[in-house]
Amino acid sequence: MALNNPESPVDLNELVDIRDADASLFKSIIDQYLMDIPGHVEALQKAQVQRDAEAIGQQAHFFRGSSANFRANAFVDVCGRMETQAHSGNLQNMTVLMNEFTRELQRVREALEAEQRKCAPGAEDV
Amino acid sequence: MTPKTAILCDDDKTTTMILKHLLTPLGFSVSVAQNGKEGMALIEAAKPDLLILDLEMPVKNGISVLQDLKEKNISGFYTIVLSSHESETAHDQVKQLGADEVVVKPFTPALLVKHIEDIAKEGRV
Repeated sequence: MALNNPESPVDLNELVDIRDADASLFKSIIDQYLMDIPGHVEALQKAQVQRDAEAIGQQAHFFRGSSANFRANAFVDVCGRMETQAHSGNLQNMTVLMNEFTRELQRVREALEAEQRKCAPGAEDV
Repeated sequence: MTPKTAILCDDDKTTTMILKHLLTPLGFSVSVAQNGKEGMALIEAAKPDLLILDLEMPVKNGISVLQDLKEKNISGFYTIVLSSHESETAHDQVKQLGADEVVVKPFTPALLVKHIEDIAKEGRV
């Protein structure tokens, strides 16, 4: 589990109590986050193409809030910078931020997918 | 004892799942709304003891919910607003619309719920 591992893009310490109390809820939380990603990424990409600062800010806000639950600090930081910049209306640097966003999101997604596999039935037997 | 009721109004499902899990052992019966329109419908159907309201949501945002509540004179419950804005001015605006307090996002759900437990013990929720 991604606990206190400085190399990991997530830190699941906050969710340990939930995992211990209700493993299926713990898995559901990760499942939900991973399920939400494609729709919000699509909305973010569309907003970027349309240069819609408000929509970019909304999507960055969503990712910042939901990813904080997994202490995905580097990704949360990128989302925060995107949100601030979108709210300022200045989209000049947004392509660079989007690249950083995509890279960090991929790291978070892979880490959570690994946790998801550990939660799968029979995973402990492997 | 009648269970206390809480409405979580936030489009972030992972956060509402975690908050619901943490609030239930405190004796809260928790309902979830994914936007302000759904939240208003829940509040008007049955006034909660606690409202946790995100400001940035699709369909109808948190400010619009607070304005509606004020216009319709619906009050008498503890309202915690989740905001990404850190400025005191923004917080004052939200409080003028009836929010009891503002929590800046991102936040730690367990700490928020511990805080709710404390104010519940004080009888404020």
